[in-house]
Amino acid sequence: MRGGWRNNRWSGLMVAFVLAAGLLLVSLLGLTRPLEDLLAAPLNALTRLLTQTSRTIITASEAPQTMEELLQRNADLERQLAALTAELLQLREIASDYQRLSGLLNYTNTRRDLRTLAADVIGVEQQSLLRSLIINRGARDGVRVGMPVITDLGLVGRVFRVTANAAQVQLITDQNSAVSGRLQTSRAEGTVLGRGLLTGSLRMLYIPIDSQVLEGDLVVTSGLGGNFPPDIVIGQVTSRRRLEFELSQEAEIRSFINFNTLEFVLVVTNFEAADINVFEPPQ
Amino acid sequence: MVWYYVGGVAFYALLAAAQSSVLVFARLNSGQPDLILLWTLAWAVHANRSEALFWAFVGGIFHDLLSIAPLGTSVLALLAMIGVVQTLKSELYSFSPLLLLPIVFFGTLLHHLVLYTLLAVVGYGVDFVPTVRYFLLPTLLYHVGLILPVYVAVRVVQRLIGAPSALR
Repeated sequence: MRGGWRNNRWSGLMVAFVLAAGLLLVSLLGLTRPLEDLLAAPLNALTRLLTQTSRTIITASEAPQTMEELLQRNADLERQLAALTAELLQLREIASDYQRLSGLLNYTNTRRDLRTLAADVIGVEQQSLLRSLIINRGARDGVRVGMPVITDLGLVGRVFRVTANAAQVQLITDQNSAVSGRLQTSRAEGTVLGRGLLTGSLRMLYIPIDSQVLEGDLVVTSGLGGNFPPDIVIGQVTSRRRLEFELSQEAEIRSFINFNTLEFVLVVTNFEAADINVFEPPQ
Repeated sequence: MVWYYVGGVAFYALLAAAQSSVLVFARLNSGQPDLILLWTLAWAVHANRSEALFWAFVGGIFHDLLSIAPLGTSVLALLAMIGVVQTLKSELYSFSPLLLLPIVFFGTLLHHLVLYTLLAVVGYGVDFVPTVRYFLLPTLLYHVGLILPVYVAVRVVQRLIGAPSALR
C-alpha cells in the first residue's frame, strides 16, 4: 500500500515533467507563439505600469530636499554643462575636419540616414543569465525581428521577438550575442561577444594578430554578416590580450551605455538583416 | 475554489511583472532575487505535492513569458527544485523554518543548474565562470536573506485565504 502511494507520488512529478518537456518542445518549434503573444500582452502592460511607478518613486526620492542640496545640485549641473559644452565644441571640430577630408578625398557617402523609432523600455529580462529588455513598440508600429536597436551612445542590441504592442530586444551584452566589429583606427575586424553582464562589458575576439589594438580605441559595427548596419558605435577598448601561441588577439570592450538604467531606445526601422546563409558553399 | 486558482495565477503575474520592473532597481552586481522561485518554494513547504507542482508550473510559465528563453525552460527548472523539496519534506519528522536556509540555498543551486543545462541544450551559450560569479552568488545571497520573510508572508496568506493545505 505504501509502495503504491509512493509510486503515485512519483507519477505526479513525472506527469508534470513530461508536460513541461512537451511545452518546451512545442515552444522550440514555434507553435506556442500565438499563445505567448496573447499572455504577454497584459503582462507587458502590468510590467510597464510597475516600471513607470517605481521610476517615479525613485526619481522623487532622489530629488533634492533642501535649499543647500538644490544649490549643490545646481553647481554640479553647471560644471557638467561646462564640460559637455567643451566636449561638444571638440566634437564639432572633429566633424568639420571629417567633412573637409571627405571632400578632399572625393569620398562619397552612400549610406542612407538611419530611420528610427523611439521606444520606452518597459521591462528587463528576469533570467539572470540572459540579457534582454522589453520595449513598448511592436508589430503595430512596424517593428520586425532582427531590427537593430540603438541609443545616442551606441548599439543596444537587436529585436528578438515581437508582439502586437511590444518587442523583446536581445542586448549586445547577452552571452549569445555576436556582432561583427571593427576597430576605428586600425580598421581590424573581429567578433564582439556579450559577457552576460549589466556593466556593459564585452569581448572582441578573432582580431588579426598583426593588427594594432590601442586602449581607448573605438569599436564600431563592421556590417559584415548583414545583421547590423556599419559604423554604429559598440564601445571602447579597455584592455587587450595577446598570447604568443594564439593566432589572433582579443580585447576587452566597454559599452558607453549603462544597460541597467536604460529608459529610451531607438529602433532602426529601415534596416533589414540580410540572410547570407544561402551563400554558403555547397557541402 | 476557482477563485483560489484565478487569484493565484493573477498573483504570479504580479510577481513576474514586479520581478522584471521593480526588482531591477535592487540588482546586486548582476543578480537579483527571484520572487517566483522564493514564493513557490515557501508555498511548497506546507502544500501537498500536486498543489506545489501546479504552482511551480504556473510560476515557470510566467518566468518564461518575460524572458527570451523558450517557454517551458523555467517550468522544468522549478519542477526539479520543487520535486526535490517535496521529497525531502516527506522524509522529515518535523519542520523548522530555519531548515529553509539550506533548502533555499541548494534549491536555488539546483534550479540554476537545471536552467543553465536546459539553455545550453537548446542552443544558448553559457559562460560558466562569470555566470556563477556575477549572477548566481548575489542571487544566492538574496535568497538566503529573503526566504524567511517570504515564508512568513506565505504563511499569513495561506491562513488568510484558507488555502487547501494551509493549516497543516
